[in-house]
Amino acid sequence: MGTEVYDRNPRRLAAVLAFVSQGIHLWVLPGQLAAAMVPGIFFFLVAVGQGLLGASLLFGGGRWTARFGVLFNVFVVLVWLFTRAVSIPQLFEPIKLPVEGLGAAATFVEVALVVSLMRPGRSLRRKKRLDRA
Amino acid sequence: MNITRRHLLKMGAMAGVGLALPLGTLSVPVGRLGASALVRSPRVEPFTVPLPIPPVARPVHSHGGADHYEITQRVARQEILPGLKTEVWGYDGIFPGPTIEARRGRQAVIRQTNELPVPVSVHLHGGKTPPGSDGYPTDLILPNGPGGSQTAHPHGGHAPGGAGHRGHREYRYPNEHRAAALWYHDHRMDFTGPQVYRGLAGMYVLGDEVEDGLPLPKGGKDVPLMICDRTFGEDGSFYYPSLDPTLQEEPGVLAHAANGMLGDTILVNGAPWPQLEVSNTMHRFRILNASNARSYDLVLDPPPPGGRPFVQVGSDGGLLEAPIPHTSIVAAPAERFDVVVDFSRYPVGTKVTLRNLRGEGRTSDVMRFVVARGKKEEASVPERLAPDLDFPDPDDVEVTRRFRFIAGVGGGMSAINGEVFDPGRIDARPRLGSTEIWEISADPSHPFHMHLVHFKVLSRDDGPPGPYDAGWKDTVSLEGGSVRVAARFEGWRGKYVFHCHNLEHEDMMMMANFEVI
Ligand SMILES: [Cu+2]
Repeated sequence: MGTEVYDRNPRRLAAVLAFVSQGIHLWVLPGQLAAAMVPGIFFFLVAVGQGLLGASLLFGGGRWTARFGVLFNVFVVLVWLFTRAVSIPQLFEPIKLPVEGLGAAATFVEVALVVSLMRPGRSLRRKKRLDRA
Repeated sequence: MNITRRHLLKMGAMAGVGLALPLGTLSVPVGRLGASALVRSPRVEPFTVPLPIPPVARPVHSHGGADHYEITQRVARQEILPGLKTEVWGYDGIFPGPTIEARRGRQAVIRQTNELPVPVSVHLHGGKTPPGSDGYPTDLILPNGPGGSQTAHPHGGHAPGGAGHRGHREYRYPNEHRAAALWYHDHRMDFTGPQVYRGLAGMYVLGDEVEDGLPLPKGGKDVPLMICDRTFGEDGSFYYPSLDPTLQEEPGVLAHAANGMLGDTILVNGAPWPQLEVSNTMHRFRILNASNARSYDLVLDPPPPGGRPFVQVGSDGGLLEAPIPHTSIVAAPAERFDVVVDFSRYPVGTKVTLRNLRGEGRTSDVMRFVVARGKKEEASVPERLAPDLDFPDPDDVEVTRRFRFIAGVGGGMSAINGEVFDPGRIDARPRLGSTEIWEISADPSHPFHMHLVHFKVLSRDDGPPGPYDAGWKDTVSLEGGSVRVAARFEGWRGKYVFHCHNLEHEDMMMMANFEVI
């Protein structure tokens, strides 16, 4: 029960960020999937992942939740960066214009989410060191 | 106890927010795609509607070696399926539009008036046309009044960058090339597919003295067959899966149709599975595949005794040097095949069905001929049709270019050499008067079309040209693999497009520019 004791607030913040990212992906999902399947399906999977992550974090989450959250969001951010750096129009377009601003917003949220998940991890290690001492 | 309850709550939240909510959201587009893919046209009894022949446009006046026409593009209601009215967007309000019968050496000047609610651009397919009259995709005739936006959200964020005429404009066709069956159709950037589908297409038959001197079937025995497929809603309306059915804002189609909208009803000259009564004589058919995306493998059923029912006398660019007999005609979108069928090989009373071996169910029928009466034969197909076709000499080739056509996946853009259409980017600059070889490869299948020039297919998949590659072509079908074509860039300097003539691919940006310099 150690993690619950001192990490509530960062975890709650991370949960909120996960839900915001989920909300953005769900918002664009219907239009995107109707027009282009590959980005549509990706948005769906991101929404699932962020929803599971957010719900888990809301109830404290564990070390594995935090690890999943970091890896998952790093992956999502890398995909966003990759699809902006490399043009594969056959797969990733048409990206609708309004999605672009939202995509940047979602990416910002995901980076913040990764940071907020890593800080509790550091404090956890510090606590353990203190416990041993 | 407390932990168990907490775990239950956590599991419930994860299931609800993490699974149920995304799945619920997913059901909206999945339902939309499913409903769209399942639209079926009202049932029509095949071979009950007589084959209509589109009316021939009359010049409003003729002087100075030019015939002047006036055509108004407008919304009208037309009975296509028996007992139902279909809203068409037609040249002069009819679908197909009026046939223009032009003569080599006489200019045709067509004043097009746009009374539709959207911008339009008219392209004469197969015409050697100066750039200002070629119907460049952003060279638009804007609608009169408000609502004249060009393209609100063009694909890829490119500004259309074209000049807009408001209400009307003139197109000048010099008609300097050989007799051929051409066609005219809409070419508005991002929206060609839906606008042609709604009816903006018509035949343009160019005649000359060489053709007049041949004993081929003439008059009522020279019949245009504009074949296309459409799906209709229950009320008889054309069904096309546009993302934005007003064709004002968002271009593109629902993902299930992104590799081509295939209709379930076959129309010939705008009538579903029509029937034509013929005498037991030779008839000449100007077959045009005006479908957005469907290819046909046409056969006659029953085949005539001895087989080879079709004698091809012409291709996209006019008469062949010599006739070619075919068992079937494989026609990709926008290709034309000028064929003679000799109905004297059938006993009077025979019902001969034109079938499509590539169709399934209802789309495997096209139309029916009834050999209704005996008549004396007046026509023949001579061994030699046209004088030397003056094909480009491979020794004259200055440049060889390669273009790879790759279709988008599940709604993604379709691209040429990895690039989507940008009106501002020029991908080839052939010199005026020069001959070039273009090597086109395709994945999976694309009808490749060039504006301005006709080309000669030199080879297919490194072997000889295919059975349907003869003569001068402006559209060549690729079903994977590659073709090499030779073209002479004659006529005018200026910017033209080349593109895939699967209209959904074209609208999904499978188009590029060449500029003759
Ligand atoms: Cu194509």
